[in-house]
Amino acid sequence: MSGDTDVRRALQRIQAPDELDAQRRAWPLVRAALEAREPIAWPKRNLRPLLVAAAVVLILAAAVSSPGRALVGSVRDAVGTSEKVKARPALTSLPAPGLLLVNARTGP
Amino acid sequence: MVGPGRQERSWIRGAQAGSASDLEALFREHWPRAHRAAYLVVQDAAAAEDIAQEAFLAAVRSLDRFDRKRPFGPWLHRIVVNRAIDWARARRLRRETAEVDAGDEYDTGDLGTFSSGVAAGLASLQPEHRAVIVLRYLLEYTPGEIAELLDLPRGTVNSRLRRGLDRLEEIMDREHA
Repeated sequence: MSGDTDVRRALQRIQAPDELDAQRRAWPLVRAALEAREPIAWPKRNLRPLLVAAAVVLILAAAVSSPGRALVGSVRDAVGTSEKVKARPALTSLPAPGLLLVNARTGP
Repeated sequence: MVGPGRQERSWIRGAQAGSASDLEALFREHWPRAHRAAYLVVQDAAAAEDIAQEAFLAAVRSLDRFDRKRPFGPWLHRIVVNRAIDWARARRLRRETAEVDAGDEYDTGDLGTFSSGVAAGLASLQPEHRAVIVLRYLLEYTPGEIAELLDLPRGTVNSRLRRGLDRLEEIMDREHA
């Protein structure tokens, strides 16, 4: 036997007994199963991706509109992510004469 | 596993929409090989018919979840061959329980009526080895694809193929001698 080729050829020659009749008997059952099943309607099958896409579009549109931008701004203020103006150290004279009580970590 | 052809995708789409004629085309295309594969693994004509039939029924029931970009054949063959292996194992267990001693040879079922050649050799293999031989040489899957279909390591598939082929050669050589 020359191995693979002979086995392949021999296997493809073997027929199950009653092959065609078995096919004829099986088809009505398979067809009945198709008729018995309720196909999922297209919108239902695709509902989830459609809803996700619609939500993304709505959020983007809202963020771009002017009330949306205002809302984003106020959220940013509330959360505190906007830049804070930091005081710079500077040497200036006091606005009035007198003594200045200074308290520091190292003491007065 | 290559993707399905345009024709097959169209049949699947039609069947998913409820078309009996598209399902029939799909059935006619795939029934003969699915049935024959089941028969060669279980070696019992009635069981093979039941297995192929149930595989199609299972396929129809989950048709809506089927991804049309994937080929239908491997999906069906996975169901058929795994069911056939389960059936053949169950039969072996039943016979062992009934204390029927088959010696070294495995149960030959209907294929026992083939007194010579590959069919007789196949009948002497364990169901798991038969399945790998059938997937490789009847259904033409590569060892990697067989490993995927049966959830087996590729090395196991290769060793089953080797052992199966050796056994077939041994039997056929004995006949030719």
